[in-house]
Amino acid sequence: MVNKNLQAALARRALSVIFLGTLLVGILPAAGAANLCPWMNEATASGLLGASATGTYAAATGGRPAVCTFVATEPRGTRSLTINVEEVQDAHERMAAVLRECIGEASAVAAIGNEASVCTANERKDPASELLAGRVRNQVFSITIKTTLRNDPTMDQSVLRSKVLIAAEQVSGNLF
Amino acid sequence: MRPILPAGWLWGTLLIVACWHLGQAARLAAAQSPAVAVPTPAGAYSGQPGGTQPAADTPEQLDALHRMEERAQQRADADRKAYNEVVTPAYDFHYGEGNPFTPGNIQVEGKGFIQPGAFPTADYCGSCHQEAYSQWRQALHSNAFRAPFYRASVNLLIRDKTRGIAFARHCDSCHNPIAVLSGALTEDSKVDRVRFDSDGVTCMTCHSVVKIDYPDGNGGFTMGVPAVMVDEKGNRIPGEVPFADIMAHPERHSRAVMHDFLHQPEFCAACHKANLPDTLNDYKFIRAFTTYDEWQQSKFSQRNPLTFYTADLTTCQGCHMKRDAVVLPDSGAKNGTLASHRWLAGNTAVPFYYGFDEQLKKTIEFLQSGNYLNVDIFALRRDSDGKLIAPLGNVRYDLAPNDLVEAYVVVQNKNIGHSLLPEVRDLYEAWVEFTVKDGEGKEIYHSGFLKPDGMLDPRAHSFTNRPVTDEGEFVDNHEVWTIHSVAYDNTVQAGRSVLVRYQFRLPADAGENVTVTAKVNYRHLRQSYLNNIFGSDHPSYPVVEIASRTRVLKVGRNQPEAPEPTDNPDWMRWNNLGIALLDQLQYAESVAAFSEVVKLRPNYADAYTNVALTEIAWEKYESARRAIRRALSIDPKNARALYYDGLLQRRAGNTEKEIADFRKVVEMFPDSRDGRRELGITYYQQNMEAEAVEQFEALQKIDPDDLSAHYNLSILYRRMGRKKEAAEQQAMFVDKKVDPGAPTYSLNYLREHPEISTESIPWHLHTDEANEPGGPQLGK
Repeated sequence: MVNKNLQAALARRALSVIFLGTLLVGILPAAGAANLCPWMNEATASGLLGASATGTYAAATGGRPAVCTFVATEPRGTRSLTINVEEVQDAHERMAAVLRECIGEASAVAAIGNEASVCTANERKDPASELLAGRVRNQVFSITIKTTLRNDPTMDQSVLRSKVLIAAEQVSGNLF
Repeated sequence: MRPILPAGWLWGTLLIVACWHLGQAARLAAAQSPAVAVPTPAGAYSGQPGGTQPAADTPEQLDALHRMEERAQQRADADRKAYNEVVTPAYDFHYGEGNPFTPGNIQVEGKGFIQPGAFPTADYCGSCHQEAYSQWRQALHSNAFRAPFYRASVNLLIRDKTRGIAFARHCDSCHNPIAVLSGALTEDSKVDRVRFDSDGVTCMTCHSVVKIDYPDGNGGFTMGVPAVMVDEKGNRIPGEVPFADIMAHPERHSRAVMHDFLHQPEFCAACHKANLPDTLNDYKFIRAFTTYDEWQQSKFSQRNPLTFYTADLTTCQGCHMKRDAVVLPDSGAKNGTLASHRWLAGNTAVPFYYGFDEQLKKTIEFLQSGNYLNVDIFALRRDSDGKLIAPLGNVRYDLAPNDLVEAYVVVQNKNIGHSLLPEVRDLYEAWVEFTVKDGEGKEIYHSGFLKPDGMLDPRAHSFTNRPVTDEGEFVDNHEVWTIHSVAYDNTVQAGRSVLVRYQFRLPADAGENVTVTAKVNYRHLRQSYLNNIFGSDHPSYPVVEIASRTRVLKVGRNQPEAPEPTDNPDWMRWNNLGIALLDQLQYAESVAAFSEVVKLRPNYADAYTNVALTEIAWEKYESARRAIRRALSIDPKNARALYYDGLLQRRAGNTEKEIADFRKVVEMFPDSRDGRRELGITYYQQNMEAEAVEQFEALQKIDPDDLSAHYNLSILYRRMGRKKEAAEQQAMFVDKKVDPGAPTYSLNYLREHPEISTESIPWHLHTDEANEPGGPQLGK
């Protein structure tokens, strides 16, 4: 009986610790833990996504680009902004590879980094997604902003396009 | 046994925390957004016809105004408080809570940081000021932060391991004031930057300034809580207001956003004067640039009696904000014109990068207009007889094949109200391009060319400088916090001239004529800096020819020829040569040149004064006295002559006359730094302490960094028992005085760069002759 009570107590404690851990993991970013993304802070991403966004950052490792991801969760879906940055030998080749995700032709964008192009991205699952690829010297960056909300009331394709351009000015500015 | 963490408690906590965060997020969002959402009107507002008085308010209208004012004030206060609750805890008060914006000098009214949403946006202003908006959007001010030419440099500071983003408050106080004042410049910033980064110095930064602080630059101003409207008593109503209210009372709008100081040079000085304080470089005060002081010392300020020439009073705004006819509707226009919000100057890089073609075109037109520079191929000197052939155009002379010839090119900073080049002359690049071609266009000599990689000929005569680190390395990336010395500085101050000497040999088969051309070219920015920003595969940035002069020299007999319309009269040509030689410490030749001015204009008092001041520098006091007496006999009230007479009276021990001279100077020119300084020194030497303090304090008001004022006040205050003030002045003197070790850093650089070493010597020759100093062995 004692053991069963102890087991139950331990189980409850373990569950509680897990629950608390889960809660803490959930709460901490919102409570203002350091966002390590070097090119954009959470407040700026939140402004672009139109809702409070949580950011994660993965540094570049083993030939993989550094990635910042900001996600704003809404009741009916999510909006996200993803930034990839990598240093490459052939920046033009890499930019071209990134832009293969485009639906149709990418448009050149003036005054973003050394050069940049923007397009509607081929995101099969998401109703709307815009992609910008650019470079600053030999650093290639790509920015994807998308929404999973069908008929997103505040993020239609043209709004996404303007947001990705604003994001690109922020990111490229920090890469110079 | 009870669970150690009941779910209800957790959910309760979660809910409380979540609610708190949601509330904070909502407040933060509100604080970063405009206080009032105002739709952009379709058309521009047309102001009331000139002279029309706005209708008097009815009691109901006044009541509505006061209600709006009360709501706006409450909203602004609540937003600011909520904003600070979020932003302040995360902020790095590197220099203590009392100095949130250090190393910048910027300040803001009210408590704590100010929310970006407090600033009405440029789009809001642009609704009624379409012309000003469209000009501003292409101008430097709106792009002061976002342009890569700035970001590349400030990012290095942000990434610096011992400094970081908190130190960028020094630069951003002028480049991105809202970022600084909103507390955005900190690690782990909680501030949405989109609202201000793209607009740099936006409308409501300049138009919200309420006070210009001590003219020490680095953002030396106080920002008010932005307001576009005042009430009937002049009280500011914070934030955006409906356009209808402005349209009903444009005079109240004007009172909120226009201040007299916006028309004064001291307003520009708040940012167009900068130093590198020890809080930035952990070293000591280093002067960065002093465009305001250069203007204040120029003929255009009419505050300095010692200028070589005189001119009508012209402010910074007088050149850089000239009124232009408006193209787009703008309610601020008067008689169809508006003070230019393009601030045309020298920056061709920003419009080139952003594709602002109109701004680029107008910038080039500006640089090529206004008779800013005069280029004079003034003289030749044949190596065979050493005789100076001058002034060219007025004398007969002979040239022969194989002659080794030296050309005197005099570049006069004629009508720029500041130096050539101003401000960051480690980044901007102006230089003399000098070519000699034979009759078939074949190049005989070429200095100041651009190499295929875009780099400037290293032996060119450029109007640049070379700041160096404590390792004697050139600060190539504008990492100003590493500057410890300046290896050379070839600027030409306002109103002065420089002599650039080129040597070339006429070939045996030169033909009948050779064509000699001297140009002053300018580009924004130096190629290696552009390469640092973009890598080497960027397009070529514009090179603008600001001024040039060509002369055709006959191989054989040359006759006098008519001057070109842009040529200076001969007396001025000699005068400019004299000024250039004076600055190059060639006193005998300078006196000879000024003596030619005396011959051409015997009743021109300044000609004698110029002889005298050169002889004072040369320590030929007796002949200087004769010259200055002649000047004063022509013009007894000439402040310039009186000033130099004062110096000569001091040397002769005639104290009463010395005091009388300097007093007359400061009576006529109360903002004369030299007059105040010398009168202060005279009083000091006579133990007239109170009088001396008065002069040095006046001098310090004109220039807060004047070393002689710091030095003398520290002694005088101590004698007077004012120990605390004495200690402050002493500390400022020690901080601002040039580090005696600094020349060592420069020497380390100059030893490694002989081509620059030659440029650092005032009297130097540009030549391809291998056996001449400055020859082609340099710069390899």
